[in-house]
Amino acid sequence: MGVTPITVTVLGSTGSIGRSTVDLLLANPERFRVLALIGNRNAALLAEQARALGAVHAVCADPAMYGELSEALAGTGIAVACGRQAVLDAARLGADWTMAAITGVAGLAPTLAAAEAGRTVALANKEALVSAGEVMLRAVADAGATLLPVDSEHNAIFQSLAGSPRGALEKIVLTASGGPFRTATREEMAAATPEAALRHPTWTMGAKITIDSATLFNKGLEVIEAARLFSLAPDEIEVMVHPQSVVHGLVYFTDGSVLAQMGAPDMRIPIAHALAWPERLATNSPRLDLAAAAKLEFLPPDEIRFPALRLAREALRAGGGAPTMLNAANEIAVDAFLHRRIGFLDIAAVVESVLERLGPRAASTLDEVLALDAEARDCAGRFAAARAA
Amino acid sequence: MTPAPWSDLRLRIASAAIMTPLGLAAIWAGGAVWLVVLAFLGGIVAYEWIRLSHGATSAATGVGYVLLACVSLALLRLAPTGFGDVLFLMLVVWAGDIGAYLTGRQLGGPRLAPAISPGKTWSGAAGGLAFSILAGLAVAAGFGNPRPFHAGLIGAALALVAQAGDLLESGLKRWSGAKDSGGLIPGHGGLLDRVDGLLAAAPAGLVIRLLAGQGGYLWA
Repeated sequence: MGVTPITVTVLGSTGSIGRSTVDLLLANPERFRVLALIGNRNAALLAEQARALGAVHAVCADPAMYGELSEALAGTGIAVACGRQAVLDAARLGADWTMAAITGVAGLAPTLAAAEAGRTVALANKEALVSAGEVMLRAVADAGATLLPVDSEHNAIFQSLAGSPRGALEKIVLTASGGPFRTATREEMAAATPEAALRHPTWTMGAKITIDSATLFNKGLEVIEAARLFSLAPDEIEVMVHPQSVVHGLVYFTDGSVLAQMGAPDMRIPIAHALAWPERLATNSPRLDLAAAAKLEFLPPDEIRFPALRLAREALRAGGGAPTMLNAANEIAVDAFLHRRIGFLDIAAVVESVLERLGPRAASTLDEVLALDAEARDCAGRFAAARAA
Repeated sequence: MTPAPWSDLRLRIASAAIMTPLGLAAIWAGGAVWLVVLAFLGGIVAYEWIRLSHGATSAATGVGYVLLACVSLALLRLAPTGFGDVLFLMLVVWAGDIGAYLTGRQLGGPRLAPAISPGKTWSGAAGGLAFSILAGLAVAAGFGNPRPFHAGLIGAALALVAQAGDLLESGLKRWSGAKDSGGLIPGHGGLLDRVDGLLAAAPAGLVIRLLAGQGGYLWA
């Protein structure tokens, strides 16, 4: 087509979002040129991706994988590096478009580095906006970077906004599948095993996020994320349980119109949207079959059985470091649940205890965020141990 | 020329205790921080060189030499391998300086190049080389180095280039009749005296990095 290809860097290319991104890049070699692929420990997959895409750089965060990676890429001319600084330097190379899909707090600094380069950042790392929201938004504004949401719900809201002015917006609705315990009683939830909680009805994802879907913490974190991304107040963001996962998000406008984005539950769709924006990219994702979907249900969430939403809204209202603490405490509590040290209902209880114990805190620089994150993790570990005893 | 007493080692260590963490922090930070630090220090070193020079030709040669080193260090650091590569280069050169000083002082022995630099001995050169190789191996190991022999070899090559650069600067000082190249860092003479080895080793490091086949770190 004679169009200059867009340079792309993928932070976290061997993870679930990263692999979907690589699929789309492989299918569209004429539109994209891959500058750097960044992984953590999966050197074999990283090397395979780098070869297939003809990447300029391949970087693994874990130095222990350097030998394997450099051996697998010997003779290809692909530059290999390892370590945390190498990840930051690769993020700073200035690709036109960067997928920020390193999960957890480990993704914060590389995501910030990509934003500081001032180009387009497709954001799949929730922590960047939940845990370090103020820092992230300031970096984006200072560098004049563009932030595109990749989370299916936020991407749905972004698409449904359709470029309308902020004043025309009344409220947004984030949908939640409701997870495996949507219809369970509190007693059943108290006795739930990790295996039962990991059986997500519609999406296939990593363990942490699947548990977050079961507790609705995932939706709580998404409420905070939406507030940051779209500059919304907590009461302008509604959550609806929608077991079919067909409608990913809705926007209510002041004239009474409601726009929604729908599609099959396939992460390649929002990733493709972010990759091509403001254009569109063809994908071979499964197409939504309206006749097969037949019936769409929307139910208000039960905040008694699922306290996560209430806790997230409280953290959002409290502001400062509260979302940082919420996210950190939740990660530790989920880990304790996955290792059978605490029960399913203890997850929210641990998070609430941490928020109460640590009280209002500030977190306006990355260092403050990281320090508060560590403190909240430590505190959550102690509460989880107390519950396990 | 009598060797300086041991007491100046204390001043050297005190200066190093401040300069080393600052230098390492700048290498760690990379990006714009590294470029600003390089430009600042490069400016000072170039100024010191000009002061030692006789005439425009030698001044211009010196400034070109410093510029080449700064550009090499900038290019090396801006690549994703940069933190490892520059750390390797710096520690190989610094360890060589320290090793040469300590072993030369302890062992003494025949002079390396009495006409150029009366303080340098063969034992110091050998000790510096050994320290450099060890430092190179240590840095490479920190980055999951799969080929230690290769890393040691490249550490040795850079150490020899650094020692040659050191002699070159000594020769320049001798020729211009100066004792120290400046007085910025206490106990360290001029900044040029501190970085003379690095000035020569940096372009060599860049060449090795490029010839090593874009395949990774300069020692790999």
